[in-house]
Amino acid sequence: MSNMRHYVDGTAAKQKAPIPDDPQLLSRHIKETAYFLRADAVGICKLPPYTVYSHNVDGRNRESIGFPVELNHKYAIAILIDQDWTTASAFTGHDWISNSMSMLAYSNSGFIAIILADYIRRLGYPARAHYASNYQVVVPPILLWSGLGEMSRIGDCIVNPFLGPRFKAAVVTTDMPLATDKPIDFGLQDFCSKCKKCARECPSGALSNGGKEMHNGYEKWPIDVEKCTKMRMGNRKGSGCGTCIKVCPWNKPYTPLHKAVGWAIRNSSLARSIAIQGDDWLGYGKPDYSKKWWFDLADLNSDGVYQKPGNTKTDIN
Amino acid sequence: MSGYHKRNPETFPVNRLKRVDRPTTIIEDGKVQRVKQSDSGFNKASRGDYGPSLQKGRDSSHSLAPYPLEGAQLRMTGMMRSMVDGIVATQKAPISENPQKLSQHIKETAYFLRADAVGICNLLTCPPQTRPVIIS
Repeated sequence: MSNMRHYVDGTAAKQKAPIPDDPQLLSRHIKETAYFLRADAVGICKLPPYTVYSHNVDGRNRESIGFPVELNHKYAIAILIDQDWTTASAFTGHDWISNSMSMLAYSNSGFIAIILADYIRRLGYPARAHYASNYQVVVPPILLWSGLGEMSRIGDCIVNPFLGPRFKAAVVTTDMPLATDKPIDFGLQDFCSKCKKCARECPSGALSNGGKEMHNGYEKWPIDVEKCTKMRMGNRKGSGCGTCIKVCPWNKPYTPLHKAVGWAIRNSSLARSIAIQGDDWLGYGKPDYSKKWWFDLADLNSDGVYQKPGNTKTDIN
Repeated sequence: MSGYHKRNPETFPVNRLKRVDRPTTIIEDGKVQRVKQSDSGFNKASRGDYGPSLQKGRDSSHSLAPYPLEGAQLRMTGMMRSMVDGIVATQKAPISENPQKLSQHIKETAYFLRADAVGICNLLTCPPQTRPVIIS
């Protein structure tokens, strides 16, 4: 990941490749290239200028406010990677595998974004990859505009209709002329205003039971960032925390049953109300230890020595 | 028995395949000689053994590829080449020493990392090296 961060940008080829300049065709091609590189979902939008960070952080010096960012690309290509359903159903939401699920999706989406940006530059258009170790853009609004999800009760997190919140995203910004996707409405504003399971289950109490508010021009459910960060960075009984991802009723596998239920709750408010009750009755959101595959290990003294932590729930170690 | 021991973590139904002691073609363990990687076709081509046009086509700079997507992928794989090995932790982690459990764990870790198929074998004892291997 640290090596990869230097590979996000470069010089575009001097001459444009002899490919069509039809935005529809190019968007289709870029998406299919991203899927070939094993993306799980791809969306394209105009790059909203307000999503570009004013300053971005130098990874080696996080105490500084970083450097002013200049990024004038016209379009953003967003790439989602699934954090793995099996692992998501096995973990508690805040045990030792939690950050590894994030890093699975961060590293894979970054890998794809870096190759895709390089490919676009070779075709003669400027392009830059943005991923976990090296972002110049704020990702959630890009996901909203590119039709990959709606804003959810989980603070600043976007929920996708097929992956739920169980994904991470990387972005490629470019001047290649692309056709854009439109935002989506799958009933999530109604769903999240009724459900509140993430707020109920959040171990740090960072998520709100209340209504949406305006923050910096964005309508969103508020999140106590300090409580959330303290839980994720200060968790001594696990590595990080993704309990909201774990318990969200949209965190489901893509099976025939869930496709059918998904269709119903995207299209019916009554189905949403029933699904919210049903999710608890069916026991979703609880850890299924029979699927657990990882060892519980912790470098508790930051000395490179792993110990078996006290809260191990299975005999896999 | 816990679910961990009962379940089959594999993507494909490999547990239904017939398992045999040896591969189905002959390998004469005592006779096989170790070979130089530089004897492979691509490496010979880049040394010019197959003529100047192929030597140019396989430039080792990783930036010149005949196809743009391939070029971007070559740059990425070239970046990864310095990350294949490293120093082992001074102390073993407190995990099972049971090879069955370790194999299942390693396979499930690889599947979590989005592998499509994983298998494990003995790295068979090789004849003595003719010269030291330098890992750069």
